[in-house]
Amino acid sequence: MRGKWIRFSVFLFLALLILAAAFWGPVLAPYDPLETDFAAKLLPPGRAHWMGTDNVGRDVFSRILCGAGNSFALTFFMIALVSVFGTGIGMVSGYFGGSLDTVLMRITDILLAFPDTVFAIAVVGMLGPGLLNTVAALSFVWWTKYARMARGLASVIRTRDYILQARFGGAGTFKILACYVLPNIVPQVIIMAALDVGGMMLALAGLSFLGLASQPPAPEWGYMLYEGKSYMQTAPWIMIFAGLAIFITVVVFNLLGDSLRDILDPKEE
Amino acid sequence: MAEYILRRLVQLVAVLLGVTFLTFIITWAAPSDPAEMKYVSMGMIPSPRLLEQTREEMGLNDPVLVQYGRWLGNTMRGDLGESAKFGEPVLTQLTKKLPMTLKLAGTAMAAVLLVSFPLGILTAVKKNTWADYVVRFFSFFGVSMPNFWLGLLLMYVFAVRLRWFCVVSSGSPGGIVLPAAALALPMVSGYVRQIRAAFLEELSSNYVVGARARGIPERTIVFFHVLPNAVFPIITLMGLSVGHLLGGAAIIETIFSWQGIGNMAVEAIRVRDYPLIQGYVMWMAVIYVGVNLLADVGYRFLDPQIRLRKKVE
Repeated sequence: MRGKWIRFSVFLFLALLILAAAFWGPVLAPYDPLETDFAAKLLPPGRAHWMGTDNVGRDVFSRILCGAGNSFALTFFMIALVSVFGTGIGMVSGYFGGSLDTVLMRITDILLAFPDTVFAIAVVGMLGPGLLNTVAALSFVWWTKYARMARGLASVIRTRDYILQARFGGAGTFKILACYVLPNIVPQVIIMAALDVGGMMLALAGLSFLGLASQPPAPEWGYMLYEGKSYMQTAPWIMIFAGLAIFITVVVFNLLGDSLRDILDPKEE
Repeated sequence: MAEYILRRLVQLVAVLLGVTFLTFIITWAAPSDPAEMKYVSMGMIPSPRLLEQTREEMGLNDPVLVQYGRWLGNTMRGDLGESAKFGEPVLTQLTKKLPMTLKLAGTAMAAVLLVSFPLGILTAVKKNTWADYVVRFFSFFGVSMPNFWLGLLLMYVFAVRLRWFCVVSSGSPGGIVLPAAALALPMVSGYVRQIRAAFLEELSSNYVVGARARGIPERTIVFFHVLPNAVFPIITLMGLSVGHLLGGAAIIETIFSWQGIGNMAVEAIRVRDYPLIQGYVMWMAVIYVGVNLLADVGYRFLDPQIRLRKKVE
């Protein structure tokens, strides 16, 4: 039992460390991430530039630090959006059941028929690249995951005795949903959201890697990889460090999610 | 069984209708005017009157559902429109590029199974030994590995540095190795975990205890008694992986210049080739849904527990 909490604390600390670096990135960065310096282009990692410079002489380390904030803000915003929306719909669908439930679940069936990346590519492809369209593309499919889980839980919870009890006690539908159903779903939502941070980050980075999301010159990790790809022969450090940043962040948040599940959901053991 | 398949087929038709409608709606909602694009692609700027007339001819002023019905009719006849980029019917373009993607995805899937079954069985049989810990350690990192970064790293090490392979994969001998590896490696992690879990569950069941009590060698138990039972959850997983493979292929194919359908889709987006994107999305969804139906039916057909229970009833 204590081991779980120790693990959780360690990973939480690491995650907070990364978040702090992202938050104070612009202050910590040794150079301006947008400043070009053609005299110092494609420099290998050295004392002046820890992670080298890119094709227009921008400091890779500074760009990674400053890009972190953008990546995180978007990731957390997306997770919040899809988890709240999905949970709400799923809960209502599962609690009321009936034809509403059938219609909503058929909609999720249809959305789940698209392989996730394929659908995102299609939406961005049709509506054009850009931040807002990326958000639309990913959230359009992603909420279904939360909706299905919340629906499953709610349809079980509604048959429980304490719901009946609450109804006898005169509680209205809204009160039952908010005070008795929702609190029993929230822990599972938190676990799912925590485990999703890494996946969401990868999905976002994947889209910007294809050049479909973020617009240059604002630093963004996935787009840095995309740029670094062209200079792989002469300046592999651009893509190595940008990818490493994504990888380490995803590892830490996946570990955090795992340890959080161990604490909140003892059934898994 | 027949009833089950029939029910699933009805469901399939409903899902496909939804899929096609959604695909249609995305294009319909796109901020571009097909009538205008038609003239622009021919290199002329149409007058507003000509534009309005063309819209009427192309049926763009009809209600959405009418347009959808017409589009669906054409689609059913195999007419997905003309690709502006390649100057040929979308269907021709798709059937030309699809085999390359299937080849890549198939190779990756085979590699995943070949690697993850031995590893999964090893970790389950040698639970909580160093072998188990080492494999689980690496499989954890595999889950967090961005496949596009892995692709770039593989390319850098094996194509740029060691020069074992060409940087452009399509058409070069052995060119499939790197893209297939980049696609397969992150998936291996998930499979090893699932196979390990499935084996552990089976190994703790009564028939295994019974077999052990009868003095049957552990090796025989693992390969002849447990393996056939542990395969079933993996069939479902394989069906779901197809979506991952088709989506991942878009990114990996772009990196390795593999001339498949994913690479084509990304190209199509760059030049705004709407009919091609539309055809791509629809076909990916159809393939994904179809494969999962096959996996579900195959699962029921192969699993004696489900098959025999039906007979008893």
